[in-house]
Amino acid sequence: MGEHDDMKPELETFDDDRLLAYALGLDDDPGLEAAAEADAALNARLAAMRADVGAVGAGLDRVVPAPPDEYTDLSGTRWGELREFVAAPAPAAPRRRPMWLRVLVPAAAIALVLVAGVVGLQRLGTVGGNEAATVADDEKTVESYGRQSGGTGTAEDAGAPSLDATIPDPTAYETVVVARAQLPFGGRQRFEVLRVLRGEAGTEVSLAMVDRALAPDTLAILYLRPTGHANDAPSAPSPASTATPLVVAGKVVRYTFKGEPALARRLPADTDLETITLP
Amino acid sequence: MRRAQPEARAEFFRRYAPQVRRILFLQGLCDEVDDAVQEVFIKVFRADLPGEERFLAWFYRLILNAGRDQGRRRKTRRGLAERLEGLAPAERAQAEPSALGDPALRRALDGLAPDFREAVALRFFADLSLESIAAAQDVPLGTVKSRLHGALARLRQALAEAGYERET
Repeated sequence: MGEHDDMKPELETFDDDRLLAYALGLDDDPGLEAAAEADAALNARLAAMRADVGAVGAGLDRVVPAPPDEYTDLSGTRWGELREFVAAPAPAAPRRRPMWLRVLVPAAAIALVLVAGVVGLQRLGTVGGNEAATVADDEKTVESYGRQSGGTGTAEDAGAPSLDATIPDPTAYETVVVARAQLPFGGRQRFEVLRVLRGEAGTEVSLAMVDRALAPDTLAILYLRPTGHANDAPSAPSPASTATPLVVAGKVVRYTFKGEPALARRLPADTDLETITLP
Repeated sequence: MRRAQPEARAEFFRRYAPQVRRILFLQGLCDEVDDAVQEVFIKVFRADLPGEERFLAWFYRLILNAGRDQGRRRKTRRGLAERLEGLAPAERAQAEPSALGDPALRRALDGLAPDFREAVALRFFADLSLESIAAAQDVPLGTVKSRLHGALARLRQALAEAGYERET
């Protein structure tokens, strides 16, 4: 009898609150995921809840659209009172330097750039055999969120894409995974987690888009939960402060994950997942 | 005292200003929204910033308070639905079948209590976790959950009444 009781599965309740929290991406819920896989009715309820949340999100994106990229142009008259905080101190008037300095300094700078380039290429090689290919591939395959979702309209498409010429430093993130992008919807994009490179992750993560999304089915390395603590706050929550700029680098798309900056760096479609290693 | 450098401030502004604007819009601001956005960032740039672990809650609380203050000072008393209507280009609403429910959604947003709208804005525009929303709104976790659940129920109902049909 006791043995029989031990084998009795624990009954779990999957009410709308729990489904909603999961559909909103508020809670990781492995129990619900497993139960939904085994229970078609529960799976259908979850899909309906996700569809509703997605529809509300898409509606909110239409009703309160993101401003155009020009909105954050700090040179505009709109932000006159902010200028004193964001203007770099005026440089001192240049002094006439001797001729030998004017020749030597540019030559030294060129040599430094060349050395940094070689170092950058060597570091790229340690992240995986397919990394270098992403540099050339990124521009043509990253899709605009507006086109993918049919949602926020053309204003967001008008400006430059939110791509950084950086390779994120994986040690600056608690969680790094290889994942496959799903169709973006309602300002969010889900990723199927294929391999965990660092930290812990479930089978799926949901990221909020900043202004761009990866094309569905794109392979990417996701950098989640930044650990870096820049002295330079308020840029502390920004991924820019936790990324390591390299001379030669791939490009990333910015997202947020549970309120914190997150990055997705695209991989070529034929990437062998097992070959990817972190430095 | 931890102060940011000009370029770090500019980068922070460029990253967060769009979502600050959207949060403030959903709080009910309209014509005065850019003043409120500017006010938020001036306060951030002048402040002695809290540690990183408390920064997000502090920052979003600042936004919510700015929205509440501006809302109290607002002279026009147009309803939220009417003000949000002004944000949507008419040609886009006509072009997208999915936008047919937007008037109903605006009315539903207008009917939500301000605290509920704030929770929705922080969830959908800032992608905050439950814990961060609770910290920003200075309420228990359960309150945030019930606010989001209640708000989503109203918004889903509004879309359903407007003829939205699920794709799944």
